[in-house]
Amino acid sequence: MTLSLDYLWWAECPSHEEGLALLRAVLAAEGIDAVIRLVEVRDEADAQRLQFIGSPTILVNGQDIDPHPVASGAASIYALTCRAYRRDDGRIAPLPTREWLRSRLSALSTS
Amino acid sequence: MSRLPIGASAIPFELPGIDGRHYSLETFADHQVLGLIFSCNHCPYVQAWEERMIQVQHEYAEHGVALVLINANDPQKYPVDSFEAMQQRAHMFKYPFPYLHDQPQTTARAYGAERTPEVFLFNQARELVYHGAVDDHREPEHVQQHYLRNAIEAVLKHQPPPISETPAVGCTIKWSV
Repeated sequence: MTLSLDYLWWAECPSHEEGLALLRAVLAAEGIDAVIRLVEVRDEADAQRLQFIGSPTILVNGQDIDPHPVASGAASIYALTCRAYRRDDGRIAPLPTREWLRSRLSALSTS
Repeated sequence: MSRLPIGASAIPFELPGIDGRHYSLETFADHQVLGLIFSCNHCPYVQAWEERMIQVQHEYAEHGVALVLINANDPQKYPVDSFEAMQQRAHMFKYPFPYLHDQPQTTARAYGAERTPEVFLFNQARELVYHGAVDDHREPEHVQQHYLRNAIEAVLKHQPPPISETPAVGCTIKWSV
């Protein structure tokens, strides 16, 4: 099965290139067949329209890869902001870990 | 908006802290080194570097180093960056430094700050000697260059920092207009 991925990113948040490279590396390492559509979120109107909760956001077959996304703290749930990911050790980081990404993609590719 | 250049004098400010006191450059006159760090609550980059900023302050407090966090984000856009939320976060993480609220955003604009976290480090003459990131990686286990720590060490030895400017990596400051 080919996964359909949307990678939503905002240029003002600095980790989007690293995040995309990480995503591609995990897909390759796991042998997961996927098509990645890159979606640049340029302004607040885009953020509202795309229901964007932070950069970067990964949608798998239209669903957010994180079943329990961390709130951004913005007044609107959808906003031009950097996304927070909660690591297994509780720390907050601007990108998911490789292991978390591997686990989520593996689960979603077989579901 | 132009950023304060290396070698420039610190720009005076007077800002309220979460402890109810007002802080200015004079508050820190007896400190050999002053680091102003534009910061906030919500940003995941701040949260990634927060523990290291706390460690640096603990480590260098007895050497006359004062770090001061300044939050200039618009709380209307980011309620978790409000003054009350700042008090809660500082309490929760036992901040060892003042946490100041730049609600009019004038201090951030005067310094030319753009990101959180973004460091402006001054020597005893209050000349800017280092500007930029805390270190070179948001993941502590991958850090190779301790920019802030190295700059502090150099200033304490009355030497120029080995690196005086790096790109600040973090969220953009959330301006009101």
